[in-house]
Amino acid sequence: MKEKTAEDYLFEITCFLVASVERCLGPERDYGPSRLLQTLYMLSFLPDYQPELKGNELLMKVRAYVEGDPQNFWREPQLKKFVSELSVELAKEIKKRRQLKKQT
Amino acid sequence: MNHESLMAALKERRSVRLYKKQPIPMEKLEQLVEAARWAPSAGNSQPWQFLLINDENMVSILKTISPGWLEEAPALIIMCINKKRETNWSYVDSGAAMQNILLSAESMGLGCCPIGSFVVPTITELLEIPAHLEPILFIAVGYPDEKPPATTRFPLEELIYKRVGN
Repeated sequence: MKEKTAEDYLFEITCFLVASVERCLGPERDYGPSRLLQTLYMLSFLPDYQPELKGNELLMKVRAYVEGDPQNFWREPQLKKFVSELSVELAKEIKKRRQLKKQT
Repeated sequence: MNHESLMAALKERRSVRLYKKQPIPMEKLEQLVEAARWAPSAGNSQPWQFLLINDENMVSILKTISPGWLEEAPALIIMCINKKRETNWSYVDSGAAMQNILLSAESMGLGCCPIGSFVVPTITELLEIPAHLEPILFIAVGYPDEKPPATTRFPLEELIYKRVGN
Protein backbone atom coordinates (compact mmCIF):
# COMPACT_ATOMS: atom_id res chain seq x y z
CA MET A 1 0.00 0.00 0.00
CA LYS A 2 1.14 3.56 -0.75
CA GLU A 3 2.68 5.35 2.20
CA LYS A 4 0.44 7.82 3.94
CA THR A 5 0.95 11.54 3.48
CA ALA A 6 0.27 14.12 6.18
CA GLU A 7 -2.99 14.89 4.39
CA ASP A 8 -3.96 11.19 4.46
CA TYR A 9 -3.18 10.99 8.15
CA LEU A 10 -5.08 14.15 8.97
CA PHE A 11 -8.05 12.70 7.10
CA GLU A 12 -7.72 9.47 9.09
CA ILE A 13 -7.93 11.45 12.32
CA THR A 14 -10.90 13.35 10.92
CA CYS A 15 -12.68 10.06 10.11
CA PHE A 16 -11.98 8.78 13.59
CA LEU A 17 -13.33 11.92 15.24
CA VAL A 18 -16.46 12.18 13.08
CA ALA A 19 -17.20 8.50 13.74
CA SER A 20 -16.53 8.94 17.44
CA VAL A 21 -18.88 11.92 17.74
CA GLU A 22 -21.59 10.01 15.89
CA ARG A 23 -21.17 6.96 18.10
CA CYS A 24 -20.81 8.92 21.33
CA LEU A 25 -24.10 10.69 20.66
CA GLY A 26 -25.63 7.24 20.39
CA PRO A 27 -24.82 3.97 22.10
CA GLU A 28 -21.16 4.71 22.86
CA ARG A 29 -21.67 7.77 25.06
CA ASP A 30 -19.53 6.26 27.82
CA TYR A 31 -16.58 5.81 25.48
CA GLY A 32 -16.06 9.58 25.06
CA PRO A 33 -13.00 9.80 27.33
CA SER A 34 -11.24 6.87 25.72
CA ARG A 35 -11.96 8.21 22.21
CA LEU A 36 -10.35 11.50 23.20
CA LEU A 37 -7.33 9.65 24.51
CA GLN A 38 -7.16 7.64 21.29
CA THR A 39 -7.15 10.94 19.42
CA LEU A 40 -4.19 12.12 21.49
CA TYR A 41 -2.52 8.82 20.64
CA MET A 42 -3.12 9.44 16.93
CA LEU A 43 -1.80 13.01 17.26
CA SER A 44 1.44 11.61 18.69
CA PHE A 45 2.20 10.26 15.19
CA LEU A 46 1.60 13.54 13.35
CA PRO A 47 5.29 14.55 13.43
CA ASP A 48 6.08 11.34 11.49
CA TYR A 49 4.09 12.80 8.61
CA GLN A 50 4.86 16.47 9.14
CA PRO A 51 8.51 16.66 10.24
CA GLU A 52 8.38 20.40 11.03
CA LEU A 53 6.18 19.47 14.00
CA LYS A 54 8.34 18.47 16.93
CA GLY A 55 5.68 16.66 18.92
CA ASN A 56 5.87 16.80 22.67
CA GLU A 57 6.48 14.72 25.73
CA LEU A 58 2.84 14.62 26.76
CA LEU A 59 1.83 12.98 23.50
CA MET A 60 4.70 10.54 23.86
CA LYS A 61 3.47 9.65 27.33
CA VAL A 62 0.04 8.96 25.88
CA ARG A 63 1.61 6.76 23.22
CA ALA A 64 3.59 4.80 25.79
CA TYR A 65 0.49 4.37 27.94
CA VAL A 66 -1.70 3.09 25.07
CA GLU A 67 0.99 0.80 23.69
CA GLY A 68 1.71 -0.51 27.16
CA ASP A 69 -1.67 -2.23 27.20
CA PRO A 70 -3.38 -1.73 23.82
CA GLN A 71 -6.43 -3.79 24.70
CA ASN A 72 -7.14 -2.35 28.12
CA PHE A 73 -5.85 1.22 28.09
CA TRP A 74 -9.41 2.55 27.90
CA ARG A 75 -10.61 0.77 31.00
CA GLU A 76 -11.16 2.47 34.27
CA PRO A 77 -9.62 2.85 36.76
CA GLN A 78 -6.27 2.82 34.93
CA LEU A 79 -7.42 5.43 32.40
CA LYS A 80 -8.53 7.73 35.19
CA LYS A 81 -5.24 7.27 37.03
CA PHE A 82 -3.20 7.92 33.89
CA VAL A 83 -5.17 11.03 32.93
CA SER A 84 -4.84 12.36 36.44
CA GLU A 85 -1.07 11.97 36.23
CA LEU A 86 -1.05 13.44 32.73
CA SER A 87 -2.97 16.47 33.98
CA VAL A 88 -0.20 17.18 36.50
CA GLU A 89 2.40 16.77 33.75
CA LEU A 90 0.37 19.17 31.66
CA ALA A 91 0.59 21.84 34.37
CA LYS A 92 4.37 21.37 34.56
CA GLU A 93 4.64 21.69 30.79
CA ILE A 94 2.52 24.87 30.75
CA LYS A 95 4.74 26.38 33.46
CA LYS A 96 7.90 25.40 31.55
CA ARG A 97 6.61 26.98 28.36
CA ARG A 98 5.51 30.17 30.12
CA GLN A 99 8.97 30.39 31.67
CA LEU A 100 10.56 30.03 28.27
CA LYS A 101 8.32 32.74 26.82
CA LYS A 102 9.22 35.15 29.61
CA GLN A 103 12.90 34.59 28.93
CA THR A 104 12.57 35.32 25.22
CA MET B 1 -19.51 -34.61 18.18
CA ASN B 2 -19.43 -35.25 21.89
CA HIS B 3 -20.14 -32.84 24.69
CA GLU B 4 -16.54 -32.69 25.90
CA SER B 5 -15.14 -31.66 22.52
CA LEU B 6 -17.88 -29.07 22.06
CA MET B 7 -17.26 -27.60 25.52
CA ALA B 8 -13.54 -27.53 24.81
CA ALA B 9 -14.17 -25.55 21.61
CA LEU B 10 -16.49 -23.14 23.43
CA LYS B 11 -13.92 -22.55 26.13
CA GLU B 12 -10.98 -22.22 23.75
CA ARG B 13 -12.57 -19.47 21.66
CA ARG B 14 -11.22 -15.98 22.27
CA SER B 15 -11.86 -12.54 20.87
CA VAL B 16 -8.64 -12.09 18.91
CA ARG B 17 -7.54 -8.54 18.21
CA LEU B 18 -3.97 -8.97 16.99
CA TYR B 19 -3.60 -10.63 13.60
CA LYS B 20 -0.78 -11.71 11.34
CA LYS B 21 -0.48 -9.77 8.10
CA GLN B 22 -1.31 -12.94 6.15
CA PRO B 23 -4.25 -12.29 3.77
CA ILE B 24 -7.50 -14.22 4.13
CA PRO B 25 -8.78 -15.70 0.85
CA MET B 26 -12.42 -15.02 -0.01
CA GLU B 27 -13.12 -18.78 0.13
CA LYS B 28 -12.31 -18.79 3.85
CA LEU B 29 -14.79 -16.00 4.48
CA GLU B 30 -17.38 -17.90 2.48
CA GLN B 31 -16.76 -20.97 4.64
CA LEU B 32 -17.54 -18.86 7.69
CA VAL B 33 -20.79 -17.67 6.14
CA GLU B 34 -21.61 -21.29 5.34
CA ALA B 35 -21.41 -21.95 9.10
CA ALA B 36 -23.65 -18.95 9.80
CA ARG B 37 -26.16 -20.25 7.26
CA TRP B 38 -26.96 -23.18 9.54
CA ALA B 39 -27.82 -21.09 12.60
CA PRO B 40 -31.37 -21.32 13.94
CA SER B 41 -33.78 -18.45 13.30
CA ALA B 42 -37.36 -17.60 14.17
CA GLY B 43 -39.70 -19.35 11.76
CA ASN B 44 -36.59 -20.17 9.71
CA SER B 45 -36.60 -16.53 8.62
CA GLN B 46 -32.79 -16.47 8.11
CA PRO B 47 -32.71 -12.67 8.40
CA TRP B 48 -28.96 -12.34 7.90
CA GLN B 49 -26.99 -11.22 4.90
CA PHE B 50 -23.27 -10.56 4.69
CA LEU B 51 -20.65 -8.40 3.04
CA LEU B 52 -17.24 -10.07 2.76
CA ILE B 53 -14.20 -7.83 2.53
CA ASN B 54 -10.58 -8.88 2.19
CA ASP B 55 -9.38 -5.86 0.27
CA GLU B 56 -6.65 -4.47 2.51
CA ASN B 57 -7.36 -0.89 1.53
CA MET B 58 -11.10 -1.12 2.18
CA VAL B 59 -10.62 -2.88 5.53
CA SER B 60 -8.26 -0.10 6.51
CA ILE B 61 -10.78 2.60 5.49
CA LEU B 62 -13.55 0.88 7.44
CA LYS B 63 -11.31 0.76 10.49
CA THR B 64 -11.01 4.56 10.42
CA ILE B 65 -14.77 4.90 10.94
CA SER B 66 -14.89 2.25 13.67
CA PRO B 67 -13.64 4.02 16.76
CA GLY B 68 -13.77 0.91 18.93
CA TRP B 69 -11.72 -1.18 16.50
CA LEU B 70 -8.18 -0.91 17.80
CA GLU B 71 -5.94 -3.17 15.70
CA GLU B 72 -5.52 -3.85 11.99
CA ALA B 73 -7.15 -6.97 10.54
CA PRO B 74 -6.76 -8.51 7.08
CA ALA B 75 -10.44 -9.24 6.51
CA LEU B 76 -13.88 -8.30 7.66
CA ILE B 77 -17.37 -9.73 7.58
CA ILE B 78 -20.22 -7.26 7.88
CA MET B 79 -23.35 -8.92 9.16
CA CYS B 80 -26.60 -7.26 8.11
CA ILE B 81 -30.25 -7.89 8.81
CA ASN B 82 -32.26 -8.15 5.64
CA LYS B 83 -35.38 -6.09 6.44
CA LYS B 84 -37.41 -8.15 3.98
CA ARG B 85 -36.92 -11.18 6.22
CA GLU B 86 -36.84 -9.40 9.57
CA THR B 87 -38.81 -10.62 12.59
CA ASN B 88 -38.87 -9.49 16.23
CA TRP B 89 -36.18 -12.09 16.86
CA SER B 90 -33.71 -11.12 14.16
CA TYR B 91 -31.11 -9.76 16.57
CA VAL B 92 -31.27 -12.96 18.61
CA ASP B 93 -30.99 -15.04 15.43
CA SER B 94 -28.03 -12.98 14.26
CA GLY B 95 -26.29 -13.67 17.56
CA ALA B 96 -26.58 -17.39 16.87
CA ALA B 97 -25.20 -16.87 13.35
CA MET B 98 -22.33 -14.84 14.78
CA GLN B 99 -21.44 -17.60 17.23
CA ASN B 100 -21.40 -20.12 14.37
CA ILE B 101 -18.91 -17.89 12.58
CA LEU B 102 -16.72 -17.48 15.65
CA LEU B 103 -16.60 -21.19 16.43
CA SER B 104 -16.11 -22.14 12.82
CA ALA B 105 -13.21 -19.67 12.58
CA GLU B 106 -11.63 -21.19 15.68
CA SER B 107 -11.81 -24.64 14.08
CA MET B 108 -10.12 -23.26 10.94
CA GLY B 109 -7.24 -21.74 12.87
CA LEU B 110 -8.62 -18.23 12.36
CA GLY B 111 -9.30 -15.60 14.95
CA CYS B 112 -12.23 -13.21 15.05
CA CYS B 113 -13.46 -10.24 16.99
CA PRO B 114 -17.02 -8.93 16.85
CA ILE B 115 -17.12 -5.13 16.66
CA GLY B 116 -20.23 -3.07 17.24
CA SER B 117 -18.59 0.33 16.89
CA PHE B 118 -19.13 1.73 13.39
CA VAL B 119 -21.05 4.51 11.70
CA VAL B 120 -23.93 3.01 9.75
CA PRO B 121 -24.64 5.96 7.39
CA THR B 122 -20.98 6.17 6.39
CA ILE B 123 -20.49 2.48 5.63
CA THR B 124 -23.87 2.31 3.89
CA GLU B 125 -22.78 5.10 1.55
CA LEU B 126 -19.23 3.82 1.18
CA LEU B 127 -20.18 0.26 0.30
CA GLU B 128 -23.44 1.16 -1.47
CA ILE B 129 -25.46 -1.04 0.83
CA PRO B 130 -29.14 -1.04 -0.17
CA ALA B 131 -31.77 0.33 2.25
CA HIS B 132 -33.22 -3.10 3.03
CA LEU B 133 -29.92 -4.26 4.55
CA GLU B 134 -29.12 -2.96 8.03
CA PRO B 135 -25.48 -3.48 9.06
CA ILE B 136 -25.49 -4.67 12.66
CA LEU B 137 -22.07 -6.15 13.27
CA PHE B 138 -18.48 -6.15 12.03
CA ILE B 139 -16.50 -9.34 12.52
CA ALA B 140 -12.75 -8.84 12.08
CA VAL B 141 -11.07 -11.99 10.75
CA GLY B 142 -7.43 -12.99 10.54
CA TYR B 143 -4.78 -15.46 11.57
CA PRO B 144 -4.17 -14.85 15.27
CA ASP B 145 -0.96 -13.24 16.38
CA GLU B 146 -1.89 -13.68 20.03
CA LYS B 147 -3.63 -16.11 22.31
CA PRO B 148 -5.49 -13.91 24.76
CA PRO B 149 -6.01 -15.39 28.22
CA ALA B 150 -9.45 -16.66 29.07
CA THR B 151 -11.69 -13.98 30.49
CA THR B 152 -13.63 -14.61 33.66
CA ARG B 153 -17.18 -15.89 33.69
CA PHE B 154 -19.87 -15.55 36.33
CA PRO B 155 -20.22 -18.73 38.36
CA LEU B 156 -23.07 -21.01 37.36
CA GLU B 157 -24.86 -20.37 40.64
CA GLU B 158 -24.99 -16.67 39.88
CA LEU B 159 -26.50 -17.29 36.46
CA ILE B 160 -29.20 -19.73 37.47
CA TYR B 161 -31.88 -17.65 39.13
CA LYS B 162 -34.13 -20.50 40.13
CA ARG B 163 -34.48 -24.23 39.73
CA VAL B 164 -38.00 -25.56 39.55
CA GLY B 165 -38.17 -29.32 39.88
CA ASN B 166 -35.47 -31.91 40.58
